[in-house]
Amino acid sequence: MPMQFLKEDEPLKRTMSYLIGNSWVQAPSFIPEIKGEEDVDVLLRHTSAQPQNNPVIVPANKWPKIINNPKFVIGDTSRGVQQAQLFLENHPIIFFDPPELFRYTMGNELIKYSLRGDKKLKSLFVNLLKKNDKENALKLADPIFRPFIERQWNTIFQDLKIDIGQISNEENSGHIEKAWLDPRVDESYVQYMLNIGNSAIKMPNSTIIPPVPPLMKSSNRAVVSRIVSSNNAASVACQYLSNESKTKYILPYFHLYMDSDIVENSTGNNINTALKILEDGLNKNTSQQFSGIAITVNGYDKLFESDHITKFKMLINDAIMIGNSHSIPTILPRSTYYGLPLLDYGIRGYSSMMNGSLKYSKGGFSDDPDDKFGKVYLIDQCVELKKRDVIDYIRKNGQFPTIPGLPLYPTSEELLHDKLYRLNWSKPRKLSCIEEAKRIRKAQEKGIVNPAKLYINNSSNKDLNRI
Amino acid sequence: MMSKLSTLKLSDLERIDLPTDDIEDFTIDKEDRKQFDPEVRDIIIREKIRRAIRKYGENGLSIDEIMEVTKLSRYELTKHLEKLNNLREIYSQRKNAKSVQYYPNGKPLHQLGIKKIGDGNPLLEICIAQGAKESLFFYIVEKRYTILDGEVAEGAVMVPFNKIDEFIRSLMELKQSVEVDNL
Repeated sequence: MPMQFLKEDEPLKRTMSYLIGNSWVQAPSFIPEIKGEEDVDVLLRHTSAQPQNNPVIVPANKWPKIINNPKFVIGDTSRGVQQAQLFLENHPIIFFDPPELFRYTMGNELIKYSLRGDKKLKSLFVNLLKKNDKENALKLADPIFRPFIERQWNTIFQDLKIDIGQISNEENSGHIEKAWLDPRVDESYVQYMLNIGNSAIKMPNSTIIPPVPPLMKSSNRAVVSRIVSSNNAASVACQYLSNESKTKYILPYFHLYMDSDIVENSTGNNINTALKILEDGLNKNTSQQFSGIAITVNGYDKLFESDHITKFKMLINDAIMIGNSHSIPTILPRSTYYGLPLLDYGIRGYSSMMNGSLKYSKGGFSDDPDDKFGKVYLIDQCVELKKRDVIDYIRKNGQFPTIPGLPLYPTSEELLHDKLYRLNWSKPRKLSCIEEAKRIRKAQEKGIVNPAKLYINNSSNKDLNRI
Repeated sequence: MMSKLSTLKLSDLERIDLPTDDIEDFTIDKEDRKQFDPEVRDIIIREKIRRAIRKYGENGLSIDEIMEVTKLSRYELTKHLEKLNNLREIYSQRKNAKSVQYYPNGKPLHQLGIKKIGDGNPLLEICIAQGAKESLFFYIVEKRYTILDGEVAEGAVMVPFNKIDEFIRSLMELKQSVEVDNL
């Protein structure tokens, strides 16, 4: 197992690369995050816009079901869909459980995820709930999810349109994140990580960002300890699988999932708590237990509008120093364009869901008909445009900026159909963030100082310009 | 100290510092194994058998002795012993009409490097393994890769370190005989 997961690139030593499995990834890199089959379809049809070894984040518990869909296993040359196997050989896979599923009331979204995206299991689950057999329905989900599901029965029944009357308060207690201290999570976490690790180690190159409790202002010592122990448990499970595999290894990232108000000085947990978790977690043993640090921040939008952004930069700077001292990279999952300015500090990877959202949404209907079409990322300006703004932009400029392998404008048919628009236009254009990361790396190669800041200064994103 | 991987709790990890080497000692019992995906269950069972034979089998272990150490059923044990035998991770010798003894077949020394041959299926993976009395072998594993199963070892051969020149010479002679035949 390698001990160095981060290296300076020869001969200039101005840029860095980080290791996932046996693949060296050029930093900084933009890492697209897949949610479902629609996103995989987009990635497999736009391979030329993704350089060799550019990683992809995938939903850990649903991934085997998604990638084993025959249309991806076989590929579809008529639609330009590359075979998944070829894609996987060229792109390291990062297994990631969306942390909001273990924190907020997510209703049907949590059920779909906990049942591994298996529609037959979901149908069985619904049928059992219709008979009010919650006990057997729960057994269909992996044990780790059960306490999180139990805390939101009301929403689940509503989402699934099942009417069995009012659920008792005891069974609908909210505060989803408190389920992290439930004995069933305590007992089933290692088993869950062994199952996820077993899926991950089958990929040619992969790593895991393990699910962890959120670090909130109000998190008590028990929760803080659980953040460290769940990371360690993921490492123990991965080391077990690596030992068994003999020729392949998998080593997880140390995951810190924190609220943005942690950087405020008010009462409760603060930057010191976050750094202590990282230091304690990474220094627990002398042997290498993690191949990177992943910091997922809840509330980037609030953070970039506040006066606390300087403190956040300090936190990120210190986290990167801790990572560097262990020869491991630090990445920011779910940071979208907010991750861009932090590349100058040494963040090696930043990511976004293909629809540009900061987290899974609970679903439901929106008043704005443009919402289901998704937003389109506009490179250089670092902003995301709704459909009406896209039409406006194209009227004025004729097309979007040219990026090899990506469409320049939506067709009239795509403008009428939301699914076509997402598949052929809004989601593929998200890959222009990969081009952004490449440009910043090129500037670093030339010895330009703070290239991300220079790039952002020319954009029209006011939030980013505050940093 | 903890003895069961599946019953290892987060709260256990919060109470103690876990040295990496302890992972070697993790085992799981029958009831716990039901909690796992079938594939993970097989991995854990095989690892349990492998470790038992490595630890106690230098002079050979009978199937009854392995049953005693691992607490596995004869049916389960037979299935996994056959798999481990095919992968040359263990080897068996018939002592008499009734008894077969199982021995460890060398520990791969991955720190010395792994060589891979072939891009498509099958893949050959070669590393050096250490056997009894510190003897060395080339451990050649045939693998297949699919998205569904990842890389799966299908069979293996152990070539003694000091026989490798002879092994290569024999292969070359066979190759030449095919080439001569084709002329």
